[in-house]
Amino acid sequence: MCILNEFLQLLQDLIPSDFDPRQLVMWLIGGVLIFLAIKKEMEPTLLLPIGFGAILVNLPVIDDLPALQELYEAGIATELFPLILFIGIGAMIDFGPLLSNPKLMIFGAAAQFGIFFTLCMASMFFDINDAASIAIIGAADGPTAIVVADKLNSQYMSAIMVAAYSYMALVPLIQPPVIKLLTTKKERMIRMPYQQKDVTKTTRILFPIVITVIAGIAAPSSVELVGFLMFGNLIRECGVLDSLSETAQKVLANLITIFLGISIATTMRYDQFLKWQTLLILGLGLVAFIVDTAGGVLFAKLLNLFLPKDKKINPMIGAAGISAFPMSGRIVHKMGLKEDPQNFLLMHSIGVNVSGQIASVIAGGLILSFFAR
Amino acid sequence: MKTVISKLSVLTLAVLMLLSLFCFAASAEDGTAAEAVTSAETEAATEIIYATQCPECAALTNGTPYCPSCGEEMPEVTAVWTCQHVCKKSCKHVGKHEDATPCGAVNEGEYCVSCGSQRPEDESGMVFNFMPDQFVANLKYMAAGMVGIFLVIGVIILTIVFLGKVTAPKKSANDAE
Repeated sequence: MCILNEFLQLLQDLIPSDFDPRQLVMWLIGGVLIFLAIKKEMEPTLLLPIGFGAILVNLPVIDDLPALQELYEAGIATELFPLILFIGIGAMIDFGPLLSNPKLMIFGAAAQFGIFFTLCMASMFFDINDAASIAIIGAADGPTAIVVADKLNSQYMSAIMVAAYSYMALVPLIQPPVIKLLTTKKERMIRMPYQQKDVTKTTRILFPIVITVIAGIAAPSSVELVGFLMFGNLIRECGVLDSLSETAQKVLANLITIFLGISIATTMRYDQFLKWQTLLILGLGLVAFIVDTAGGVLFAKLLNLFLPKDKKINPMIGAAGISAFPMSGRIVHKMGLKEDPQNFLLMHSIGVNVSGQIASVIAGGLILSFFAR
Repeated sequence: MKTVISKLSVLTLAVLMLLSLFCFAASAEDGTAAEAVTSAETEAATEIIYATQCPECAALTNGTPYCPSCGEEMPEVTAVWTCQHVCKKSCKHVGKHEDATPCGAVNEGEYCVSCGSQRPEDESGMVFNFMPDQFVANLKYMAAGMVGIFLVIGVIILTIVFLGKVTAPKKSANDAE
């Protein structure tokens, strides 16, 4: 008995005095994120570093991690990491399908409805800056969410990041039921023949420059986001910077992604993350994604009311207007094939999908112009 | 079948994650007041605020970084809160205030130095501020946002169409034939 008591005493001594059981929950959450990243391949490039970081910053003996803190201050607080990541994303995106059929961009705009709807929803529970930061989860665009939440000084940065990246990974589960619910089989079977149109190199080069100028004039707050995205695209399209384009797409994007994930995790301390608000933010993020999808689909259905019979749009492509690229575009294409094996919607849906990328950044800029001081 | 099971397992994991969060947040003690600050408090906390009573000589200061009496460096105060107390019916000042506005004093202790009201409960902890009227109040942002985004995208579409026309290769006479 005495030995048992001593053993228990020893165990008690081994547990650090500042240990909190909630740290254990954070390890569990970190573990779940790592599991989802590895086993389910859900946004592994970000969920894995975030999951590991969540465990790291919640170790009981660790009071402060100066290196990580510095990384956060240098990369997230200054918005440098997400903006640099945008150069890589811009270099990865081929705007060709959009340039050959620019009218598709209108669906990208419609599918941002979820952001503004969620803003109203979230404002019932949070102050307006936090509500706006939560709403931007609906942009389905991690870097935009980071920049907006940071500029608006949101105290829920970590929850917003986890929600944004988790739902982006869950797009294949979230979108199909919403699309099916809002469309009939007949609508899903609408064929949209694709006419290949050549896009000149001059157009491809002028496009990123013109978009930056328009965004800068129309929505000045979005100019950094749009500017970095379009700079990356200009590197890709100019044709004389192939090695830079390749570096931006692979090395730069990968490097920043590693630091981005682990830096975000510094905000995932148990005392900041384990709150009722985190659950609410996860719920509101889901609402944003659902309403985004519904907004795109319903807008396409609305347009169909005015279009001639042979020019009808398959309303499913409206759902690709969220900027989860290229997942959303592929989902719509697959759903179209499922209904009709001869219905190829890929080029249309990818065109809408890349327009969603631009529209979400502009939506972020508009949110900032409304609320950033 | 396998896909369904796989999807279900992912959803189950997500639900478990949420439940665990929920349970532990619910059982968490209220000792996180210092971290859980409202936006106004965060704003106040970003400035360096010094204690107003010297820990060495107990002299009262005016928030200066050094004690005017003994010259000791004053400790920084982080757990500040802004009093949002508004006089209501129960307040002893009823009848004296024409415009009831929040007190606004920045405090360190449990009670407001200006109006004496107690520090409010941690707002970002267990209790939500449910403000349903805010949904309607913020519909203007929804309208402005959607109009704004359609306008910008409209301009971009027109520009792309224009660019496409300007940069399109001109058809030679032979092609026309």
